[in-house]
Amino acid sequence: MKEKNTIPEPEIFTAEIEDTIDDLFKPSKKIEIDPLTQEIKEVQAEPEGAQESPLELDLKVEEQGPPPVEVEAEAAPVEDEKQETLLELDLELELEEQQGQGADQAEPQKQPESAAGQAPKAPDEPQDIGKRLEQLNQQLFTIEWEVTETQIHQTLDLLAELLAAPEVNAQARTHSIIELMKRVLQNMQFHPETVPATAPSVLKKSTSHLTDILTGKDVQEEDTEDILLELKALIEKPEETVTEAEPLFLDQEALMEDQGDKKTEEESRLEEPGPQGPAPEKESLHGPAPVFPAEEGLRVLEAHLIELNRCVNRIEPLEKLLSKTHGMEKLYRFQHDIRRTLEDQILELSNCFFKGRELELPKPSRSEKDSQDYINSISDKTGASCPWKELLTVNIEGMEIGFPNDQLVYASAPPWLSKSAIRKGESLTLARLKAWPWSKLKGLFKGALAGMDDSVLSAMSFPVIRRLGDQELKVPSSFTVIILYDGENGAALLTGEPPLPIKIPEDAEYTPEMGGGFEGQVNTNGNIIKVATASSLNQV
Amino acid sequence: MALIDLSKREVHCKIVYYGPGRCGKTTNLLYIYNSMNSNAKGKMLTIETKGDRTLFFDLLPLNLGKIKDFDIRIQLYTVPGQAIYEATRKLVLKGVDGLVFVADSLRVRRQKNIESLKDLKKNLVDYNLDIETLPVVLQYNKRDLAGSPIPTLSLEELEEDLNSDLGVKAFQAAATKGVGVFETLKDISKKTVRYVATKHLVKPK
Amino acid sequence: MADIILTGPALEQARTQIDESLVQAGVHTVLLIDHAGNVVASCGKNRKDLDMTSLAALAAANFGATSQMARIIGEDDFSLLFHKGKKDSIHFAKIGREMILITIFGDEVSLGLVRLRVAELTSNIEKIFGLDN
Repeated sequence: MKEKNTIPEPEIFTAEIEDTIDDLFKPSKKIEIDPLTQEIKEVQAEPEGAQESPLELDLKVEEQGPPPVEVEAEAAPVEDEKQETLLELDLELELEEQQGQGADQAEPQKQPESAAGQAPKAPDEPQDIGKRLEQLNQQLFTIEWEVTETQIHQTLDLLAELLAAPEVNAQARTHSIIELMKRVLQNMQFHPETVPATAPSVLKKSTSHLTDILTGKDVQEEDTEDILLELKALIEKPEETVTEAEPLFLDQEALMEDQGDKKTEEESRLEEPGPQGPAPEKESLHGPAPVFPAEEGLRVLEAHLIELNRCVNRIEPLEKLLSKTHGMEKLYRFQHDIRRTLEDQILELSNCFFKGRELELPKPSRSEKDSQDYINSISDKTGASCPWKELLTVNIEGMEIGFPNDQLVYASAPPWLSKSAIRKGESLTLARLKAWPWSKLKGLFKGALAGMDDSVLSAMSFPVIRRLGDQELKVPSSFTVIILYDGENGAALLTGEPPLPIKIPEDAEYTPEMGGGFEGQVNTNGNIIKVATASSLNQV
Repeated sequence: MALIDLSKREVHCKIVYYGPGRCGKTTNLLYIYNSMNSNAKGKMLTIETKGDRTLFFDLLPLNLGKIKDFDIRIQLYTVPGQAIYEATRKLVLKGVDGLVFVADSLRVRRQKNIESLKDLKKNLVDYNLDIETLPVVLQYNKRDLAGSPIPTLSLEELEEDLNSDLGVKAFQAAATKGVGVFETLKDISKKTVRYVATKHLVKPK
Repeated sequence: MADIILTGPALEQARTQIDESLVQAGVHTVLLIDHAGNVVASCGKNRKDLDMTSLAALAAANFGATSQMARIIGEDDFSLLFHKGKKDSIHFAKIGREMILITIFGDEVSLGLVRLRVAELTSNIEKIFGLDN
């Protein structure tokens, strides 16, 4: 690819270059560099310009006597601005990076957002299978580098989409490959320690095989068998690592498959005492037939099914919660899919082995009930219903602010005597609310302050709230003093209008904890009321 | 290896300052960078490591601007001098178009100078480059120490040690004070650009 | 190492390829550099804050250093060179024996996508510059 480009007058060209070099490559000022620290000092020009002239090799240089060794620079060091422009790359490691990654993984709720970009898809229109396979391939290439929950979720999503595709469902083998891939990924997520390091490459291989099948390439049945075996080998794992909360269906299905095949064989070995654990399960995939009797196997299976059912019961409330929570749609779908898979497994297994026999699958146990209650209590906070049926609202700076009725202890125009003091004061002493110096305070207040004696009341003072959210509160010329008090905290607000009661409908949505002085926010058919309480105002 | 981009009409030349550890290669670049006052210089890149040795390289891009429609760019690199950084030194040498061999006038460094030049020749051979055809200049640095109580090499000794085979132009320098720095730079730049241009841009006669 | 002389049409072709496969997939910046650290072509967002000269020099050195490391441990080369940042990451790929493709991308683009696209691109660019033999 060499191509000579000719310059018409080479001599002139090079001469021109040399002139430019002479013009440009010269010092504009004299500096000195400290040989030890490399510090740069500017030096005042020396009278003799000897050093400016080129020093061609001069063999007599040494006879000229000692050159000035240390000419101390007199000018002030200017290294600061010099160093600024010098691009320095420090090779020291930054730990932030690590922390950042840790944080990413600790916040699974962020995944749905970031997920959208990583594997671009148009959710509304059905994508063609080729595109999905390409995305799957991309995901696996990413996973090969780094296994993160986000990556696994996205890959599982893609697999779910593929499973739903008619092309995949048309063939049993494609369906099986994807199902197994799904399990490998689930294992990577829940039991990473059991997944061999070869998993990403086997998954990639499976994807390429899958692509071959789906793009109509000539694929040997044995190759598919090999792929299935390789995938199965990835999901074997010893029982010891399985704790009760973990999905058990992986082992069980492996067990089922083999039991199904070898049932008669097993029955003939009834007399042999079988080990309890699933160690034979592991062997059963490749090795000789399992050596436990069918009855024993069924008992193990039954125990596992009960456990499976417990898992389903545990997932259900979580799923409900996620379905109600904004931003958790992806996690919800994920949980939902797990539950559905589990239920399918249970159904399939019980149909297969316990037909005609009533299997006693337990109802949600106490612990599940507890978690249900707990989740209910959370969803009360996060979910639909508002803790108040009625609020007193005022409009401040364009915001509709609501107060709980029972906390409002005072709402009235200030007495003219102390109006300007209240207006300016950082805090409001209740004594200032007296119309006249001799008036009584008792009887002016409702709620927690009602019935208190003047001696107590006149000593009380509450902060005057000057800022809500990021809004500075201006006090109009005529204003109402509002005091909230909950028996412990109190706060005063100076508003342009007296509060008006408003009913909160049943279906109003409530979002708690907004900060900035608010307890939460109520959404009644698009109308937003920010709720402030005595305690929330004290946190401004 | 010069890069010549005919579509953008750009010529890139790579000049490497080679020499034993602490002979003043980085000082040469620092002096150029800090004293040159023109748009011709780019940002100087130094990879800061613990201590004052160059671990990887320093880089100072210079731009001659447009000449006959060609954008001529020169990049000055230094190599890590210490013998142990042989691998990185060789890496930086990759694609070199012009060389400045900076020698240390300190008598204690005599052997180091010789070894470094030998190392340079060997590395060039590995890249199929010939020190005889490549533009090379010598710079005898730290001449300001000659005459001080510190034992230094005489110019004859330096010539004898380093230039008897090469027979190239040699400059005396005191890089910390800027003596000989720009003379070396100008000479090697001219030689290098001429070399690259003659090789690729000029119609062979 | 031979000198590389780039012709306009070849470079243009390479740029188009890079643009179509990587830049349009959401990658910020792609640099094609040589092993001496020269920028052969740059595509994508023209970031003024990006010091391409330094980046290219460091990338070439980094690439060279990792190849050396590979050889020391008995590998020909590492197939995946990738630095992951909090937001932006950088991926390196060897093109022929003379060039390196540097891809800078944010967290909205997956590494897998970059790896696949770069793999395709590599052989195409090698063909364009005649580096494939």
